Amino acid sequence: MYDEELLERGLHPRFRGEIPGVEPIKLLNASCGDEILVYLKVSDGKILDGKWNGNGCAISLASADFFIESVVGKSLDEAKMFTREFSKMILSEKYDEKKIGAAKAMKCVSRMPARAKCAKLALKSLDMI
Amino acid sequence: MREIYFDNAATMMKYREAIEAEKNFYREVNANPLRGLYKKSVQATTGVNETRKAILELAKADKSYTVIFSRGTTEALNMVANGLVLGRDGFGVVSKSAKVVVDIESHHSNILPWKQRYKNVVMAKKLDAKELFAAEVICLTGVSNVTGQDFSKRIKIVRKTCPKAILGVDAAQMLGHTRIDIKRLGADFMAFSGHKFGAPMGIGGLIIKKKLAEKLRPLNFGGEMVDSVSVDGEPVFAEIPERLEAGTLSVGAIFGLFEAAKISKRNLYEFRCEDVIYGSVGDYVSELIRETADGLKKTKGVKVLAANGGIVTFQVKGVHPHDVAQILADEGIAVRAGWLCAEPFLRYKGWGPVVRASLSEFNTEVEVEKFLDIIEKIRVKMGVENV
Ligand SMILES: Cc1ncc(COP(=O)(O)O)c(C=O)c1O
Repeated sequence: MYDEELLERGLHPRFRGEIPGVEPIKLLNASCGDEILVYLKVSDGKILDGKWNGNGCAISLASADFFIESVVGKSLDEAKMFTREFSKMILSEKYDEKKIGAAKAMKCVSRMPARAKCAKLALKSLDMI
Repeated sequence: MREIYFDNAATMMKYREAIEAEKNFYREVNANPLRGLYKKSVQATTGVNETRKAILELAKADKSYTVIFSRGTTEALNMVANGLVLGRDGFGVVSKSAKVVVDIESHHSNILPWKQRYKNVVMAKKLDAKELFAAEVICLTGVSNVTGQDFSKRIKIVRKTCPKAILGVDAAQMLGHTRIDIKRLGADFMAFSGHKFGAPMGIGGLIIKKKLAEKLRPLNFGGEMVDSVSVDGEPVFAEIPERLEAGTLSVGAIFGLFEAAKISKRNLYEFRCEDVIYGSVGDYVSELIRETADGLKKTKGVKVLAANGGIVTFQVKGVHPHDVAQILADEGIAVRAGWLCAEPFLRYKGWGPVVRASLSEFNTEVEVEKFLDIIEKIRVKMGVENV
């Protein structure tokens, strides 16, 4: 089943909330009914702050939280590097573990191919900025 | 670990007879129907025509109906939605601005084909006189894939309200599962999928009034649907049903479909005592569903939304349906979760995504017990027992 850490993170997220004055990016997982809002405060190509809010399955919620944790403080390019490695991990491809950090708790999703889109939902916000 | 399969509404567990028939077709016959003059081709043609008859019998359809084969319900509905539009080629019956009514319970495949072709598609919530007013085409769910509810009565009433409209039924969950009398339903066409009642995937079709089928524009053009083709002149199209079945059909699957239709008919109209402990197969499955629903209702934090026919739909408080399905999957139980290809309906009901367990005659009480056992532990496992 799910990694304990994943479950724990989904139940008690650390980065749930909103950032006043930041337009949220809305992400939908049509087949599940997941709806995640991602708030990214970006200035000069750097992610200064991030939060997320919404509803979804344990995987999409935990992954949103790990995503925010992993990208805040990074440049957009670095953040994209993270999402690339993260996606590879989820899709059971070769990936650079050093770049994943705490989000390695999501590795268990790699044996649930149908759930890859849940794990990648919040990540898509980077391409929509 | 042998998987417990509770996703029969997505695709039913297959009859051994149907699998054997498909396999044997390729081993022993393997010829195109219709054109060949040799024995095996004739055998293929005979098999295809016998299957048409078996399907007609399953819906109690008389000689005014025929069967057009397709890949399944989706393709069959597209065939009608597309084929009904009047064109300069002489095919079609209604204009693009015709009012089309489908029910809110509809599966996406009874919504999108219509929305693609017509400007005025109404998703009716009550199917009252107002919603049905001036409808030229009406296509309704036979049995809901979300709730398992059988809408036969409602279809008959709609037919009375709208005697002139072209009335269709999405019978994906209906054919082979309930006793159908297509004439009494008043349906002009009915779309079905073999794989939903124990036949191979890739075969299904339309049971349709011949008079209506004559007017449909073929979805595909090519071999088998034409009698004469010249370099310059207009082609001479074949008669129905062949005109609407361009290309080589999935004949092995059709041979399998024949067996499934035969077994379903026996299940619906006779008892099948060698496999089943009591009553007809329908009773057996309903009894399993009742047990499942009762067990779920007794489980803390579980809400049963619907339980009919072979389907129980439910939610577990604090746990997303996909997480419920994932936990069950890890324990070797297959169920379906999410929008069930009926997003407008689930939104209309205010339910959102759900979990669906759908059973068939191949399931047992022991399986139901194991399923209930796991459901009982889910909230603890996910750490939400106090939510
Ligand atoms: C009510 C209903 N209509 C249509 C379909 C589509 O059937 P198919 O995928 O075989 O074309 C299904 C199956 O998912 C269904 O349950």
